[in-house]
Order: sequence, then structure tokens, then C-alpha cells
Amino acid sequence: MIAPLLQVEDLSVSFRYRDRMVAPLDGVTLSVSAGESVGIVGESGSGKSTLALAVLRLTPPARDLKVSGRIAFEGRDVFAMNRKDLSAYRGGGVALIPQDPMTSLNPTLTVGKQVSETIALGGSVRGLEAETVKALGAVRIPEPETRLNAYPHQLSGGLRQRVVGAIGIARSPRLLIADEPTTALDVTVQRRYLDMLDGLRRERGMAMLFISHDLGVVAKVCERIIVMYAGQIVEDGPTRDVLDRPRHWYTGALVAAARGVSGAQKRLPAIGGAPPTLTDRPPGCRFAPRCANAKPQCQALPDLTPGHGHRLRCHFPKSA
Amino acid sequence: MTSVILSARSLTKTFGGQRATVLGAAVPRLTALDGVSIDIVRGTTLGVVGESGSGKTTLGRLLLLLDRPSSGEVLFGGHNAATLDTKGRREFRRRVQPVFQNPYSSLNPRMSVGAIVSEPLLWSGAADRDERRTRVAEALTSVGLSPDDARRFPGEFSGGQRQRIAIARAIASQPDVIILDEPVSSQDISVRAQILNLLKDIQEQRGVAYVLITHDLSILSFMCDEVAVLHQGKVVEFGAAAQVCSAPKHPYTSTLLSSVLSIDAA
Repeated sequence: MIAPLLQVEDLSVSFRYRDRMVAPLDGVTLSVSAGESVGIVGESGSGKSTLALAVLRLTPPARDLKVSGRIAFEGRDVFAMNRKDLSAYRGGGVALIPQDPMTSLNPTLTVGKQVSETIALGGSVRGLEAETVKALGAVRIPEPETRLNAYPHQLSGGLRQRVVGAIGIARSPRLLIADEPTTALDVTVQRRYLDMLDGLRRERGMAMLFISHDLGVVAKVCERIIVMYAGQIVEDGPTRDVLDRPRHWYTGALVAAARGVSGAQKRLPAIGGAPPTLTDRPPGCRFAPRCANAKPQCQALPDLTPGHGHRLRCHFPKSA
Repeated sequence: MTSVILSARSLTKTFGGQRATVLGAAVPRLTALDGVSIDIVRGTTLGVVGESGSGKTTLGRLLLLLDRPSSGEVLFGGHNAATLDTKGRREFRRRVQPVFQNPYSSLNPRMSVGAIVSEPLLWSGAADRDERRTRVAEALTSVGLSPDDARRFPGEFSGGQRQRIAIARAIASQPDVIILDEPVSSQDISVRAQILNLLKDIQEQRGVAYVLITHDLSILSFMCDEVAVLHQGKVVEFGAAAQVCSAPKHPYTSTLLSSVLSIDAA
């Protein structure tokens, strides 16, 4: 068996909040193979963005911050990397497309400058402009030569998000992490952006970790779906399996909510309550207080157990 | 006879258009809304759908009298709302209420929930203190919160609960129309359905009319009776929600609908 491209083992991120420790990410284990596209689905506070930043060793500073576990990329320990290794790893090995192009692009620099900066970090200064044009062309920006001197505010939201994408792929990473890249886009623009990203991934054989709260988006571009809830993985499996035959009650409720909205019935299927905040997580199964099927045993936290290419964290799973 | 409460007649709103002066460069003229006419009927929901820049939020603001139209008029009970006197405007504000997208910015963090929800009552001048308290308690109960929550502050509530507070504020003055501007866009998926169900229940109980401004086409057929599709400031399609969603006539509506990503296998 070939080693996976990215292997994350028991990754936790915790910090001090007021007088106690809170853990936005709590023991996450996952792997991504070369060329594979994996969706991470979760609501606010599920830890999905914390995961993305931790993989890049970009966890923002916090009081008594503790990052534990193991991350290996192409077999190399990411936590053991020195400065030089890290700068090759970030952007070259793994690149991030952040959520909001309004805040991730510098409004005072031209698009060309911002893309070429990243390429220059990879060491190739010769033919910089040509490389920049190539990167902008790769994300299907029309007339890339003329866009080099444009400032972010001169571009539409869709084009701006493409520029952020161009920065992401500029150094041909083996893994692209996209954190809600289409949340700020209109539906028609979103669709074209996803088609572009999917095409690019296939052309380049690049792996993708696609973070989203939108099941429809993930269903379109991902081969595998990982569902997160309150800092933990609750279900992981092939896309069609997870969406057509969800085993975790939370996944089931999410799928029903996504389907229900398109139907024309009297009431929408809803989950009661709200996802727990960092400070009020229940001690046992974290979904139990909202779960219609919770039993006394759910006061104990279930393990994430593997089986048939699927992983599941539930004492009493839904029948498939 | 259908009872139309609020209407827009050829509403047009342009921004900019200033020539360059010593104080600043020229601002190009932008037509945000271009001759839009709609009727809001008692007890029904009118969906206004469009992408960013389509003018849907501008329309909502004009209907709330938060902005003045460049031309055209808002009719309230058959009269031009622009000509209302102070008393008439107060009555208008009591009967037409807003719910905005983001309950983190639409609720004053320094005001208690009770003060927030009773504010529309205060301005309508209709209720004395005891009656206000009763109405606040009743509004909070209607949205699934407890009357005791009146003493708490917005910071103590989750996003979904905050949107419930905003809805309680909107219904407290017993309005005829609520303008909902993207009421669930900032909510988690598992919370979205709760809020939409709640809005439906409130409509059933109180007969209030909604204008639901949204970019999310997937909620239209569930929520709306009629739908207006806005594109570049113009209504390009108008009809019964079921018909617009299943058999759109305008190509732009078809494009919008086909862009909705389903979770089912293609």
C-alpha cells in the first residue's frame, strides 16, 4: 500500500479561555491520498478551519496554546520542519485558498505583484511575469496579461476569488486546501468556480481538501466526505455512501435539512438546538443533546470506529 | 378582493452621478433599481430573489422608507408613503418591520433583549409600560424564547437565538408586513430550518405578510406564494412560486435555478 500524501494523527489544538482549557480541535485523525478530493463538512465551531490552519502550522497565537498530535506530509514530520523546509512546504507542498478574497488580497498591490510574490518564494525569479500570466490563465481568468496591473477592487468578486486561487496553485502544490472558497460568491459564479477548481485538480493530479458547510458544494467536487461536529470527526466515507446512506444521526439530519429545503412540504426537517460552543460541550457524545435517538449510553463518548472504507463515531448508528 | 397592504410603483433608485468637483472625483451613475412595481398582499409571502447587485436589498430599504426613491413611489394603504406626516410615519414604522441578515450587527450589544424587543413599541407610542412588558413577553414566547430572556443581553445568545430575538422585535408591534432581508443566510444549516419553520408558524398565527429577500433559491418554493426575480435592478420574472421554480419563463431564472447544487447524484 502506498503511503498517503497527508496523514494527520490525533491532532488537537487547545488554548486557555478565561480559566479553563478549550479545544477547537479534539483528536482528529485523517489521511488524504495523492490526487484525492476530500470534503470536510461542518457547522460553525466544528473545527474545520482550525484543522486547515493547523495542517499548515499557521495556528494563530493564543494563551497557553497547545498543538499536539502528528502531521506527516509525504512521510515527513511537519512539526519537525525548520524554517526552510516550512517555506517549501507551505505553498509548494500544501497551499491554502482562504475564504474571503476581500480580506486575503492586499488592496494596495496589483494582482500581478501578489501572484508573482508567491512564485518568487518558490525560488524561480526568471520568467516571473510569464509564470504569473500562466497561473492567472490556469484559473481561467480571461486575458490574464491585461489583468496583471489591475488592483483587487477593479475585479468582480468571482475574479478576485480566482486570483486567490491563482496564488494557491502558483507553486504547483500537491495538496490544495480550500476553506469555503465559494461562500462569498453568487450561485452562478460559484458553479463556474467549482467547475474550474475541479478541472484544475484533475489536470494536475492535485489532491484537495475542500472545507465547506454546504453539502451541495461538497457533493459536486469531492470523492470522500468527512463530517465534523464540535471539534471531532463523526463520519467519514465515500461521498455517495455518506449522502445516500448516512450512518451518523447528525449527518442524517444535515442531509435531510439539505434535501428538505428543496421540497414543498408543510414543515422543514430541523435539528433542535444549536451546535455547542467551545465552552459548553457535553461530556459524552457531543451530538447527544440534539439527537432524537440518544440513549443513556450516549453519556459516554463513542470512539471513531473504522469499517468497510467508512469511519463512524456513534453508539447506535442509523441503519444503512 | 385581495388586500394589498404595501406596494411599489415604478420604483427607481440611482446612486452616484456626481460630477468631479474640487472635493472629489466624478462618481459614475449607477441604477440600482429600475422601475420596479410589486404588491404585497396580507398574509402572503413575496419572494424577491437575485444575485449581488441585483437591487434586492435596495428594494427592501425603499419599502422600509430607509431610503428615498429617485422616482416612483411606495404606496401604503393606497397613499404615497413619501407624503406621510410624522404621525403617519410612526404608524408606518409600527406596521412595517425589518429583520436583517446578520443578528450580530442588527442587535445593540449594550441593550437588554427586553429593551431591544420593546423599542418598536416605544416609538409607536401605543403601549404603556405594563403593556409593553406583556407584549415583549408574548413576542419572546412566540419565537421560542423565555420571557425571562428579556433581562439578558445579545452576547449571551447563539446566532440562531439572536435571529429569534430580531424576529421577536419585528413582531412585537404587531405589524402587517415584515421585510426579511436574507434572514437565514448567516445561520448554520441545522439552525436554518428552525428559523424558516418559525417564520411560517408566525405567519399562520398572525396573518402577517412577508417580503423575503434572498439569494437562496432552494427556500423559495417552501416559503413563498409569489416570487419576483430581480436582475440588474429590473423584475425579469414574476409569478406563483411553484411555477417560477418548476417552469421558469425567463432564461436568467433558468440559469439561477440550474446553478443550485443538489446533494443527489447527477
